[in-house]
Amino acid sequence: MLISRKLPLAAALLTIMSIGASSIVSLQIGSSAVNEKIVEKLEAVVDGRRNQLETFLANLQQDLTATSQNNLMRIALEGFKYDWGFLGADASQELKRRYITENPFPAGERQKYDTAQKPDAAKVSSYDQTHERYNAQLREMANSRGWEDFYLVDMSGNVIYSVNKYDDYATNLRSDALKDTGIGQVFEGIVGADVTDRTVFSDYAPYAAIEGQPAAFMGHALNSQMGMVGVIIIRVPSGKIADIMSNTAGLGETGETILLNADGYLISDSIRTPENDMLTIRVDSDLLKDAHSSSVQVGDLEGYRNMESSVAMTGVKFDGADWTVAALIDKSEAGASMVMMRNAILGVALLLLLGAIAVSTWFSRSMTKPIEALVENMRRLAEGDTSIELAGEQRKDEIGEMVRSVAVFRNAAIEKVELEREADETRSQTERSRKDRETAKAEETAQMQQAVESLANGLQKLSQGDLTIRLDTPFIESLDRLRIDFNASVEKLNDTLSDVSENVLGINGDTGELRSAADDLSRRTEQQAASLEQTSAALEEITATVKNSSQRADEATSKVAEAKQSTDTSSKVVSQAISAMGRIEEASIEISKIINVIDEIAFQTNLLALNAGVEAARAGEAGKGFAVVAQEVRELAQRSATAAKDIKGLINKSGEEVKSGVTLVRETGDALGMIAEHVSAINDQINSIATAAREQSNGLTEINTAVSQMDQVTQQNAAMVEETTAVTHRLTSGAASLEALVRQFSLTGGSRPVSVSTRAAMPGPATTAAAPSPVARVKSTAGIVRASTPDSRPVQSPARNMLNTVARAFGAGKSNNSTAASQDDWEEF
Amino acid sequence: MQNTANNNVATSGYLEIISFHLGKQVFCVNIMSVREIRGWAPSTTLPHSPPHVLGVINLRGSVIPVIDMAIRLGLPAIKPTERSAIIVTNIAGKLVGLLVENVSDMITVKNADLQPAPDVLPAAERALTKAIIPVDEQMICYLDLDALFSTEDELAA
Repeated sequence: MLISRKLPLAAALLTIMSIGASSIVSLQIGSSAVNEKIVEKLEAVVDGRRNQLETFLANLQQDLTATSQNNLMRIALEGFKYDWGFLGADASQELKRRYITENPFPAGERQKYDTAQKPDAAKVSSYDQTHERYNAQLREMANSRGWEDFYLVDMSGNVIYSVNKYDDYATNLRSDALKDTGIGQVFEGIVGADVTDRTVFSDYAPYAAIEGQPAAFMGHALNSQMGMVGVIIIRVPSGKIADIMSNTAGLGETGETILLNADGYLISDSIRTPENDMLTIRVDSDLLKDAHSSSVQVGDLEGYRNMESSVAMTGVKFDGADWTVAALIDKSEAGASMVMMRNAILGVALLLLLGAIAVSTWFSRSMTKPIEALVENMRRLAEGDTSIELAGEQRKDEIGEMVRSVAVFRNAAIEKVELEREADETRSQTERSRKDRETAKAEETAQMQQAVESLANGLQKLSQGDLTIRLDTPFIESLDRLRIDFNASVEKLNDTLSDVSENVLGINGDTGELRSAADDLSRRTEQQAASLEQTSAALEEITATVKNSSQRADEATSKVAEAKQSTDTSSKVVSQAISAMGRIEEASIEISKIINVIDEIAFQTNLLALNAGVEAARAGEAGKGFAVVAQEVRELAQRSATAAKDIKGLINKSGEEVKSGVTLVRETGDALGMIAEHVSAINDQINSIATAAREQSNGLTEINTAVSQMDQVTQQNAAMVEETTAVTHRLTSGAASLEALVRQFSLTGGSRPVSVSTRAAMPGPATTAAAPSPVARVKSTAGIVRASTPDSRPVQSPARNMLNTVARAFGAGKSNNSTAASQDDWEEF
Repeated sequence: MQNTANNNVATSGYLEIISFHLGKQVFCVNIMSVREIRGWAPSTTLPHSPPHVLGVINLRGSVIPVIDMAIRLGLPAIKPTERSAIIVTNIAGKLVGLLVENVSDMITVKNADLQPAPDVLPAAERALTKAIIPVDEQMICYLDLDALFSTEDELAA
């Protein structure tokens, strides 16, 4: 058997064993835990239901007790009892007719019929009125507390009121029909036993009035101060009990809780069956006997709902009733979770098994495959094939070691073949190099001979002044340096002499420009001198004018001062005039007063004359003469009054005139003040004019000094022009001799125009002719300037530039001496 | 007295009057009923006197009433000045001062020049104006002082 088969098989076997063992153990533990859990749950549920039920029944008792103590119940009972008495002997038949037979609502809804009293009926029934008063209230009370019915019963057993009005309404509870029913027993239990302080209960039993449906009743005495007056009875709400029992939370799909009476009949409808089970289904179990105590009994139940179930039971004790609460669940449902768990464990085990087989197969393959490949390779190497490829050299396990050892064998075989091939190649190469060396030697000797000849030729041409010679044929490598240096020397010499020739031309051009510049300069200097003379004359005139205006300004100042004095005097006169006018005004007022006195006198005189006239008139004829005199006096008085009035008018007029005079004089005074201000302003202006004139005069003196300095400078310029002309002449002759020297060489680069000699003749006479005439008067100084110092010459002339070029071309050793010499006097070159 | 005056007018054929101004109008009284002409002096006001009675003045020891003629004749009241005058008249033996604006003249007119007042006023009012005297350009109203005084009495009563 191959290793690749053995390994996976072993792994699968081991996996199956371990998984199987662990699955069986866990299944057993799980099963017992689930069973325990179900029992616990059933116990808890049954206990909870019992507690709920007891609470509910206790509440029902309390509600009923509270209702019996309600005054409304007693008043309603008394009302109905009173009305019952008016209904006659057939009261029961009459009420059944009114509220059951003629009730417009069907059975079950009869409580909605509030009164049988017809609105148009001639006779009014007091029972119907009472019924109308209380029905709604009692109906609401029964509804809100969940009671299935509510009865008011008088002491003789007549049901005088019922909310729902089934057949028991308006019936006597002591009658044969009802005597043995639950409601009859309750009534007898209260009235017969005279129980006034607690409720009386009757257990579920089939009740004929509601078509044999099971019903339980609870009643309580209605007490007044006189003792018991009636009974209230309710039908216990089976629906509410069913609500409590129908809660199947935590009991799965088949589980439920049921309520059983002492005989083992169901008294709550099972929610798992469609039909009503109350008092029809019986549960028969030994557990029932033990379950009447309050402890919880657990066991199995067979037969109920055709199934085998686990059940927990406990007893409920209530007012004579002996009930049992049972919680049950189908055993098959309880085991369902166990089956699920088993299936899950088996599934996981299968998956693990498959995984283990797959992994072990892959692992064994990874080991056996490289070993097979290595065996094949070793076989080929033994046959002499060195081109084999070895996989897995990087592996770190034993297989890797084996591969690496095989690789060492293969490499040794390859190396041996390579060494044999190299030895053959070395032998043939040595033979070839010896032949090459012999031919190269002969060729070199011939080339050396040729180079010496061509260099001799070139040197001969150079000694003849030919600078166009070049050695173009290359020499052998070791001598070629000689040829290149020769060519470079000739080239350098050629360039230098070309530059010299070019510079000579430049010098010639510059000399011409210098000459014309000197001409212009002398002409302008002449014009400048003339302008300066004119400026001087104009300045003298201006000086005279300025002096004149200065004097005028001074005169004006004195005149202004006089004017100011006059104004001041006038001001005084004005104020005197004003005071004089004031005095005139005062005098006028005095005169007015006097005139008033005169007027008064005239008036009094007039009165006197009138009185005299009156007296004369009385005297009759005797008074005639006196009357005439009185008339005369009156006329005089009137004339003096008129005169006084005229004088008064005149005085008033003169007063007004005086007033306007005063105003005018005052205005004159103001005007004079303004004139005085203006005069002083004028004075200030004139003073500034005088100052300005003086400053002008000073400025003019400075200008005069500047003009005379300019004159001096102009003279010096003229002398400088003279000197420049002489220097230009010498420069021209120097350029000519230089030209002759350069022409001794024949140069490459074409024919340079050489016209120095023809142009050099011209500047001499032209310079003298252009000498300016105004310079004549400063010629003596010009001579001095010319002889002064060589520093005044241009420092960097083109000639010197050229000289430097030549010096550089002919080696550094000599250049120091020649340059030093040329700096003293470059004409000696 | 009235009779005497009338007689006087009738007998002599001439009438002497004193004219005075009230506002722009000129009035006159018979010179014979004038006792004296005085300058304006403030009067002492009497309680509960009618508006035209200005008050009383002291004339050399005797107390006489002063009447504002302008108000009495139904003209706008005049404001007394220094040039106003009081004509002291003797009417039915009682001295009464008349305040006028100023006394203008003493004139002698012919009786024939007296023109009767136009007959358009009620009798009581008409009685105040005895006649109209045209002098030069002016119309002078000749006042009957007796009638004035008798009306005064009636008014006082």
